[in-house]
Amino acid sequence: MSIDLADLLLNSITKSFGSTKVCDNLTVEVKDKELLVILGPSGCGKTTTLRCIAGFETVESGEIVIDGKVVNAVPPRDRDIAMVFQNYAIYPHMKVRDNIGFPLKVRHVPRAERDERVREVARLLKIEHLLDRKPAQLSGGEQQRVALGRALIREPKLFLMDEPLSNLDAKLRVEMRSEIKRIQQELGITTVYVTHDQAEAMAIADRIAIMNRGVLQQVGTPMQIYDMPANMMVAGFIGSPSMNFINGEVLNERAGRRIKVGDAYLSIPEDIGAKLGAVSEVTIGLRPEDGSFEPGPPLLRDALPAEIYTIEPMGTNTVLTLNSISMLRILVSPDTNLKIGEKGNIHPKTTRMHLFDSKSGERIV
Amino acid sequence: MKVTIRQVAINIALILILLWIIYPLFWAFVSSLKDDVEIFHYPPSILFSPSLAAFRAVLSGDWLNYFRNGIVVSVGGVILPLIIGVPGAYALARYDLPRKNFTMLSILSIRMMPGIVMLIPFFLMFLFLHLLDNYLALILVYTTFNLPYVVWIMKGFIEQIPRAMEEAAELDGANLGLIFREIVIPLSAAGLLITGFLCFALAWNDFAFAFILTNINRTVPVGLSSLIGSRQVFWNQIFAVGVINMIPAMIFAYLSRRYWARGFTLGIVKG
Repeated sequence: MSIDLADLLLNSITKSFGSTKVCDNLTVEVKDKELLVILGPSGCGKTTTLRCIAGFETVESGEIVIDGKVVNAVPPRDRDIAMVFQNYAIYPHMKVRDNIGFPLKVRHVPRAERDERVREVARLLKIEHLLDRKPAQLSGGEQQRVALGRALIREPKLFLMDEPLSNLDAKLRVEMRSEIKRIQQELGITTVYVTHDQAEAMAIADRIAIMNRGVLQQVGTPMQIYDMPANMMVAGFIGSPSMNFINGEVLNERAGRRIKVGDAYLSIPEDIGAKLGAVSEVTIGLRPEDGSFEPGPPLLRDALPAEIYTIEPMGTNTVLTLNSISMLRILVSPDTNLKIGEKGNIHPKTTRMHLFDSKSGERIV
Repeated sequence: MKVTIRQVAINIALILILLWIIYPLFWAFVSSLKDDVEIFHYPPSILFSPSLAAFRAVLSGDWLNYFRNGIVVSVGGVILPLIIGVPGAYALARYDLPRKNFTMLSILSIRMMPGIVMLIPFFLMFLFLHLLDNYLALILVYTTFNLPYVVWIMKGFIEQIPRAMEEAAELDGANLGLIFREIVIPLSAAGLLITGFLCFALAWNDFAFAFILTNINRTVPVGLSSLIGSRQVFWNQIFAVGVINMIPAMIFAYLSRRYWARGFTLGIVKG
C-alpha cells in the first residue's frame, strides 16, 4: 500500500470556549512520516487541538497548514485526514467489511476493487477472520483494529488518533501500541497521536509535545523531554514514579555553592553552580532512580535524612516512599531487605539533579 | 433455585396487572363471536356456540372501504410527519439554533392543545380548500398532531448517537445527506419504529376529525358509530370491528418487539 505523505504545521493557533482558552498561541510542526504525540493532563487542550486539525473546531486565529496548504476554511471531508476516535466510532449496524470499506463506498470505488482493498487492510491488521461479524461481536482490541482499518484504507495524508487505547485493559494497551507503532512505521504515515498516558507517549513517539492549560510546554524526543524537562510541569508529568521536588536555598560559600535543604546541605558541581546566577531559592528535581537509600544515623552533608514510610515491590525494582524533608520516592534493587520505619539517608546523585526556579517553575539547569 | 416471598409477590402483582389489561380484550374477542341473540343474553357467558356472523357482517360492503380509508390516512399520517419531522429533529439535536428551546416548546404546545379546539378551524379551512371528504385533509390533520411526537422522540434518539460516528463519516468523505441516510437513520431505527407506531395508532383510532371531515371516505371509528342506532346497538359487530381493528397494531407490535425495550429507554448500540 502506498501513502502520499504530508507535513503539518500549526501556526499560532488560538481557540477558546467562552472565556476559557483551550489552545493559546500554539505552534508546532509535524514532520513527514513522523509520529508526534500530544501529551498532557485532562483538560489541557490536546483533543481540541486534534479536532482543530481535523476541522471539527474552528480556530480563532492562526493557521493550520497541511502539505503547504492553509486548510482553515477547508471542510473536514476535503482535508484528506483519517482519524481514530477514543470510542472507535465504528458503525454498529454494519459488518466489519462494510465498516472498513465505507470510505471507499463514499468515493464510489467499484465493488470489486473495494473488496480487494478491504481484504488487504484486514490482512495487515490480522482481522481477516472477522470481516463478516458485526462490531457487537468483537472485543475492544478487535474493534480498535477495525477503526484503524477504516482509517488506513483511505490512504490519507495525515492520521489523527484521539486516545485510541484508553478503553483497553493494560495488557492489551501495551500490545496495541506496539502494533500502532509498527503500522505507522511500515506505512510511513504522518501521525498526530493524543494521549494523557506518559508511558504510552514515551513508548511510541518520535517526538512529544506536552501541553498544559492550553499552552505548549515543550516539544522534543522522548529522551530529550525525560532528561531535560523545560519546567516543573513537564518534569513531574513525565516518568513513573514521578520526579521528586525539594525546595532549597542557594548558599554562596568560599568552597563553592551549596543548596540548603532543611538542616542538610547538598553540594552542586561548579559548572552548575555558575549557571544559577543570582537565584536564591530553587526547587530541586530528583528522579527516583537518581538517588539511593542507605540505612544508618542521619547525615546532613550531601544526604537527606529519611525514614521508610512504605515499600512497594514492583518486580524489576522496589519503590521506597520516604518521609524526609517531604515525602520522596527512591528506587532500590528488588532484593532489598529494608523494613518500614527503618531510618537512614537519601543520597542524591548531584550531577543528575534538575534545578528549577521556585517561583516560575522554569528550568534553570 | 430458591424462590423468595418477594419474587412470588412480584409475580402475583404482574399476573393481576396482566389480567386487568387483557381481560377487556378477551371479553371483546369473546363477544365478537356471539350472534345477535347470544350477545344480549344475561348474565353474559363465555360458554356458547361461537358464530362468525358478526365478522361476516363487517367484512363486507362499506366496511372494507372503511378499513381501506383508515389504512390510507393512517399510513399518510405516519409517512408525512416522519419526512418533515425527522430532519427537523436532527437539526434540533445537532445544531445550536437560535431560540432552540422556544422552538421545541412551541412544537410541543401543539400537542398540549385539546384537539376539539381545532375541529371547527380545520373544517372551515378544508371547506375553503375544497378538501372535505378527501384523504389529504385527514393526512394533514394527523401530520399536525403527530409532528410534535416525531420531533421530540426522534430528537432524543438522535442525541444518543455518538457524534463521533457522524464525524468519522464526514472525515471519510460523506456529505450531510449521506451521513443522514447511512448513519443516522439506521442507528435511530428503533425510534422510527416507535414513533411510526404511535403516529399510526393515533391516526387509526381517531374519531373526531374523521367524523367532521369525511362523509363517504369515512374511517373505521366513524363507521363504528353507525352501529349504535337509536333503537338497537349491534354490540357483537362493534366488538368484531374492534378485534379486526386491533390486528394491524398487534402484528406491528409483535414484529418490532425487540426494539421496544431499547426504544423506551432511549438506548443505543454502543459503537
